Amino acid sequence: MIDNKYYPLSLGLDHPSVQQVIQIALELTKEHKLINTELLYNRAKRKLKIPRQGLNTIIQMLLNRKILVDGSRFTKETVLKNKIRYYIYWLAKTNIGAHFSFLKKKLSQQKESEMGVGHLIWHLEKLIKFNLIKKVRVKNCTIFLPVEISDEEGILYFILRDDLNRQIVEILFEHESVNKVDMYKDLNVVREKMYYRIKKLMELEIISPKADDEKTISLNLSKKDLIMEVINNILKNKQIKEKNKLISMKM
Amino acid sequence: MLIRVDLNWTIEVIVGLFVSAVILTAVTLSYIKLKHIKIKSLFYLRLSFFFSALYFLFEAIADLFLNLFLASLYNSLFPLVVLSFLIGVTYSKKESIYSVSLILICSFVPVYVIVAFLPDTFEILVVSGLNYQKIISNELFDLLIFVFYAITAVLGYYWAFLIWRNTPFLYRKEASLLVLTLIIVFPFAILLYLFTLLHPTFIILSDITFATGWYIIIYAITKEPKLLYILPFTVYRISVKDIEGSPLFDHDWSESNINEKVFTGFTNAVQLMSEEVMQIGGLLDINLQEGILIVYNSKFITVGLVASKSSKLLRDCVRNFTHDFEEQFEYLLKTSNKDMKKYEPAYNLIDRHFSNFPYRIISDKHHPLLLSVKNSKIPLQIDDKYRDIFKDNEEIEKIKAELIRFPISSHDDFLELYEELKDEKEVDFEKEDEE
Repeated sequence: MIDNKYYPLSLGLDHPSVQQVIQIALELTKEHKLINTELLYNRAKRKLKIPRQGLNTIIQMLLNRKILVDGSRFTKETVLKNKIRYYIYWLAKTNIGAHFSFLKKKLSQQKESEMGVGHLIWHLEKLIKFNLIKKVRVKNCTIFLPVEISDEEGILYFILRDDLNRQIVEILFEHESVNKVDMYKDLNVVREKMYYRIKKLMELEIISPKADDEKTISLNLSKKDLIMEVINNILKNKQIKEKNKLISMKM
Repeated sequence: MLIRVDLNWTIEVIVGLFVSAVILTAVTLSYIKLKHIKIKSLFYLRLSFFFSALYFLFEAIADLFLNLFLASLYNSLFPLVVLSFLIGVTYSKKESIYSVSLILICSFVPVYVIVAFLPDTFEILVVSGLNYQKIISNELFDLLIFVFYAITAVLGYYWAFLIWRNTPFLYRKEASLLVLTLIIVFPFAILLYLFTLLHPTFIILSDITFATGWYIIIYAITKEPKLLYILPFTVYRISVKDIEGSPLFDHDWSESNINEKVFTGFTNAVQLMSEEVMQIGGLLDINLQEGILIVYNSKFITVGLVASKSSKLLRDCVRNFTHDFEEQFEYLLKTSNKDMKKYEPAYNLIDRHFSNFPYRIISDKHHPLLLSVKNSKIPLQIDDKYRDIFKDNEEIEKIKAELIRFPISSHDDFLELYEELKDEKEVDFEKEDEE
């Protein structure tokens, strides 16, 4: 049996003073204060009246037993150090107006990130919390945008990324106002399909019927420039993606 | 026939006796207080303080009896003060007594001692203005003793600077006390000693200042003996594994540059080859780029210690720690219990066998810390929800590791967003058209 006569026993986690110091650390966390040795030491010293060396020993023990761990809270910069979170942020930046299911699909294509929906939502929530992206509800779905993009612009990106929606808008660019029947002939799609899309675009105030003729539609003039810019960007990105695809196929 | 001896009681004699008593008391108290701590450098430093106490004692006695032989004798003690101080400092720096300074001082000592015993080195004079007799040395000897003072001072500054620079946050107070004493008190004492050239009574003030300095140093070291182990090496981590390689106990002193995988890989590899390389009870030093891994293999466990460099002391500590670990947890080890919680009391053994080594995990008082999730007391209800959301254990561990770095309020925000998005369907305009 080991003789403990000359050696004082170590402080255990159950020791009341140790528990009190943990409690103080917890209080600081709840007050959203950044814990550091000085703050914890001063608060504990004031409240518990433990001698300096004893208190230092307790703090050291808490560090050693990984109850207090090294590290700072996330900041806007450090929150992106997580690889998966950065990838989600990058997706949201390069695919403005990306829908949740799009992000989910893209992530599942990444071999190393086999993760559930909860994990994706976890990262999205953190990106939103640090004001790196924002979420916007478009009817019954949620899209994600970089914070610097306005909601209106983001919704346009989301809608106009679809080929048929974009074609409708492009026709309205060429001809200031178009009769729905003529448009149907131009597009060569099922009539109901086109009518449904026009209805959606009208709900989102991208296009509007003429005041004197409900069968004729035109672009919402106040959004015309923005729509033009968004379509140009989408087409440009599309070209770049196709080019990259070709290069990778050749390789 | 009775011989009547007139005692030369002067203020210097009284001060000398007092100073000697103060230093001797401090040395004795430090010896009693740190009896169980076997630190070699402390032994040499204590020896130096003891010699300095003898120096002041014999100086007082020589003056009391106005005895020139005793004057030569006590002055011959001074090199012992310097040499033991030098050895103590060198040992606390590199765990060895040898240094270039030691050779230089040793070669200088015979000259000093010979001069001390020359017939005309000391003489008894009446101190002008004070009307009492005292022993005075000649100018050559004054110069020699001043050289010793200067050597001690330079050595002290160098040591103080190194300790202060390397002291971790926890021991800053004691280190500052030590450094301030060496930087302020001793130069002041030397200055006062130089004033004895103007008036011999300055020796009283000089002696008192020296004694104060010694006293503070002894106090600082006794209060925190780990100060003496700041320089020789840094102990990073110790890990105990059973014969199957399962971790049983882990303890960190410092942040190591040695990668976790490298550390684990090494101990596992050593464990596998241990039967060929070393017998049970064998010690192995493995030089790593960032330090050294000392591995000790015993009947039930393998203990790995990572330090900045190897030393006999460290190897002894590992060996003794291993024996006590096996003894204390014999039943658990025999029953192949792998529950690390059961081995937690081994922290007592760390206190016992590695009590000299300073903790360096807190490098500065503003270093950011976080309360681990386990102790953040996540409400049970929320914890259950997390477990429902993240079914994969690995996934939940990753999330928990991140959780502590976010404010507590983020639980609600996350759960709200989860409820909003969990059933979100894929957006397909084509499908919507068909519907």
